[in-house]
Amino acid sequence: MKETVAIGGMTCAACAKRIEKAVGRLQGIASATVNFATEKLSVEYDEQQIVMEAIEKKIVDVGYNVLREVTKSGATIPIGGMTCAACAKRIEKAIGKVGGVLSVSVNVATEKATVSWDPRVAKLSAIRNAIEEAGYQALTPEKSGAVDEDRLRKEREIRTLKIKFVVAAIFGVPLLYLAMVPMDPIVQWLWWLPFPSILRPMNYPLNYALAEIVLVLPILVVGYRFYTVGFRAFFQGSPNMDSLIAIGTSAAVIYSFYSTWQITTGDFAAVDRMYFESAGVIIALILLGKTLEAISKGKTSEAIKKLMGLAPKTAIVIQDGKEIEIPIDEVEIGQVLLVRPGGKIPVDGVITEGHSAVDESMLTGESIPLDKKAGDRVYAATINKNGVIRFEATKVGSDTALAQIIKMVEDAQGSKAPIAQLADVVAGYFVPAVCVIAVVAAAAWYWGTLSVPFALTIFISILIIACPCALGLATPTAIMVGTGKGAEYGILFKGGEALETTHRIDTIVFDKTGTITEGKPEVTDVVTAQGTDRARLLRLTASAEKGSEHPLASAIVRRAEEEKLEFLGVENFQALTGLGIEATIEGSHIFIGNRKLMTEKGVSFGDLEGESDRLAEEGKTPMYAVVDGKLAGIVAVADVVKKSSAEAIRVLREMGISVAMITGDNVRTAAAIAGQVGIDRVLAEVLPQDKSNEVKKLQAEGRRVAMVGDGINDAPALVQADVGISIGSGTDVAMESADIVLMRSDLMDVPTAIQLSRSTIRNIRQNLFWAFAYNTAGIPVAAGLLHLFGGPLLNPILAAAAMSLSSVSVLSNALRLKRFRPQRS
Amino acid sequence: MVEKTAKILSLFVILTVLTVKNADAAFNTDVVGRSAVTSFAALLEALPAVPGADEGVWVLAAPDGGARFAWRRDVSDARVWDVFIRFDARPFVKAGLDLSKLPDGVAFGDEIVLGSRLSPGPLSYEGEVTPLASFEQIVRLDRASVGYHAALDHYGVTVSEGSLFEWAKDMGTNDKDMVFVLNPKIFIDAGVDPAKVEGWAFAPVPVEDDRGRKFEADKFLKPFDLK
Repeated sequence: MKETVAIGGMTCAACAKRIEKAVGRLQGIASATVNFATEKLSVEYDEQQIVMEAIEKKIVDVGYNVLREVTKSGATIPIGGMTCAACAKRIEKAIGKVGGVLSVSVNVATEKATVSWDPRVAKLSAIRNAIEEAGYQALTPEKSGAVDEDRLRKEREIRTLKIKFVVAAIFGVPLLYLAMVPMDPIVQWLWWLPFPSILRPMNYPLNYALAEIVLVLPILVVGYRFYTVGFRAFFQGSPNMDSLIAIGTSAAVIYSFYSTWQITTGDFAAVDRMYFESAGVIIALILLGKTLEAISKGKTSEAIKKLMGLAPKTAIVIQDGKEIEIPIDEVEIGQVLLVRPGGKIPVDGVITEGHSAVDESMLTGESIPLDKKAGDRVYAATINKNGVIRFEATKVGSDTALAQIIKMVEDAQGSKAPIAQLADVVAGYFVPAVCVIAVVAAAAWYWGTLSVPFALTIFISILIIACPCALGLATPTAIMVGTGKGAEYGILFKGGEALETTHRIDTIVFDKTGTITEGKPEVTDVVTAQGTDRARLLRLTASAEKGSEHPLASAIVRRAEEEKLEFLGVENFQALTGLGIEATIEGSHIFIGNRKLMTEKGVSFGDLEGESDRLAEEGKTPMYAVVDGKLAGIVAVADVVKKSSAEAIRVLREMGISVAMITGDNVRTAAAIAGQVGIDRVLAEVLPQDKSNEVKKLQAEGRRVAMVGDGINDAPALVQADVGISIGSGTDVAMESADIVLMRSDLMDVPTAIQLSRSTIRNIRQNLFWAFAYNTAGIPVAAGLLHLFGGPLLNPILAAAAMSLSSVSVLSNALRLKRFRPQRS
Repeated sequence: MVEKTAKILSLFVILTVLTVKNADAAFNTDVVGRSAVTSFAALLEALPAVPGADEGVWVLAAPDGGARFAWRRDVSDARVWDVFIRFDARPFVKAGLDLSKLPDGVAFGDEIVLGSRLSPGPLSYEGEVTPLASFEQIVRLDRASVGYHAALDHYGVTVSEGSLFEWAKDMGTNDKDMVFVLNPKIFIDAGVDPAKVEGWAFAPVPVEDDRGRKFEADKFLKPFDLK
């Protein structure tokens, strides 16, 4: 069983590690991965050995919250038949009895019931039934909507953080002013601001200390989470970022209280040893950093929000011949839905009535609307352009193609790239190591200076500047933006590992049929013998082939239809297995088939011999048409190359990537196609089961291979390759086997995927560099290394500012990925 | 949240009450003022004050007789200065002082007087009017004129801008039990070569301004160890 749990209260990568460790130790857990950026735990467990409640309890035990992602639905239902306030009560009671109803309020004056419910438990229809059963009429809901609780929760979190920061700033600024003004010459420019004489530190030291206590108190109250979570983690042996903040600021506060006590005993010089402002301003700055972090984190998941926003909120269902608008959650499989021109298709289904052009660009990226008629499939969130269609719902809720895409992107965003392991390992040891460094450095300085305040400054500065939050954010935020950006381009990375591995690819193997080519034979040439009309030849061959089920025959029939040629009556149709067909049309005896058939029938090629050879050279399949014993012409059929194939391969080669083509076709055909698109390495006549071996051989040469394919026969090779890429027109098996799914059939998305991977990994490296740089450069400075050689000493407040800045800079850098654009030359 | 806030507030109240030690301190946070009176009492014990020639003042004379600190019994009745120091002008004259260049009201024959008025206010003597009781009036009526000088571990009464009379917070541990501190500016402006003033040390002293900013200022110092 695999589940995802939203977690609250995490502040750094160490928190994520801590939860992973705690949950991972439980019996029955196969894997537990926490993504710090999405704040979600992905856990795989054996239901026989452990229940979800036990996992959630463990999370709470180690100091974090399990957030229930309840999606709340709501509607305002006009009610008929109400006469008095008692009716309102009665209806409220009736609705309230429906399981899953979260709130209900009936207004007598407006005669409307405002109801919210958990859509997993209750349905609007059940609520309406309850109203009807109570003796009233439940009219069509005027407005309904689903509320994304997760989004609201995040907005609430940002709002709370903002309020906390504002409170901290309101008290922090005067606190800092009080502490800084006596410091000459730092704030001499503040000379014009008043400074109450009863707070002069040397004349009224106790007043001064009490004023600082009064000012720091609200800041510590709004920052209480750092202490509750931090100390709990510390005492449980897994210190995290909160622990560093809690220990550092607590040391400052406790020592300041000690100084205050010393003032009361007559040691007035102790007023110079107060650090309340350090604690207060550190908390304020970290709250500011956390606020900016929460806002930026929200932006990293905008792509998924866009995808979620594509789905319409309501659907029109045909019930008893009437059109009824219902919430999307209420749609059930088998219901017939109606979509008007310009409307969004609410769920996946099959058209039963009507025809229209449907814009599927939001799913496939394909900008040209597709014509759809009865029997064709339609997908949720696509737009019905110009006709009224009715369709039967076949997939609803989490089963729709859109929901599957969202899930795939969410899973990818929640997964960890191998590069993240490094950051995780470092973060895991980082905090305890920092605690040790802080204690050792402070002790050394105390031994050297015998000054408790100096040693304390060192201790606090190290703890504060070394908070590893930037380290924790470096990888997941870039992956979130990268995978989200990929989704915008119709490129679905199935995980962080795929995203990371893709940037290393140096060789790409393309399957031919359906990947480089359209996968659908088309008529490419119609060559006529002297005295034969082209249209006549095509008309005859198409009419004769209409009875055949061979793909090559279909191509000829399709071409005739495209050219709007009229079909002729066919008599005596006969398929000649492995050779072709024969038939009689308008009294003429016709043979259509391959060279072997021509040889058997002793037909001379005459002038067309050269044309026949040319077509074969080009990898096309010539079909010879013989009318009344004489060769009338050749219709050549071939699987044509996609428009973008050659361009995509050129771009890939420019990117320094070797390109190969793999196919079961004969060498001649394969070479012809390869020549058209610019591929020089051709692996031809490869049996489906041997495709993966060919990939393996390339890997044995030390290459990092990506395989691009679409068919079931490509699946083993997709799995064998370092990165398997399936294209949009491909089979479900290919998509299952692939690491990257291209939603369109456009091969230009292959270089785009590699470019995006390269950009993302570059971004991750930059993030990791900055995160490590802040910490590795910051710790020696905070430890007083520069001071040892006559340089400056890092003020704990500046340490807090630098630490907050590190997270914000890493997030800002990750957000730069949103500006990614594929390079085409 | 409310419960946690209450817990934190309670913790702070307890810590604050504990740190301010006792209820009296909790209500009277002027620890410097209180302690200044106590230590001044110790000074008076070591060097008793006497009524001045002018019946209205108490005088604390330096052991060498070269300087005196005086404070008025009834500040509301002050005619000239409520607190002042008076010292021999001759060492300064020998060092180049031109008495005529001193500000008005400073030079009195062979003596120099630096003093100031205090904020007049209602007097509230309880019991006998003693030197200590009069000093307590100064602390009560013009607390700003009494300060703590951390660098020397002294209390001091400002008698004019930059000039003070200081005494040790703890005479048992301080080798400068009583110090006359002069702002040298008016003297240097009047021709004094600071290095040549006999009986007065000229040295930089860490001080702080009225905003609590610390800096070093040159001062004439006449310290006395009363032990």
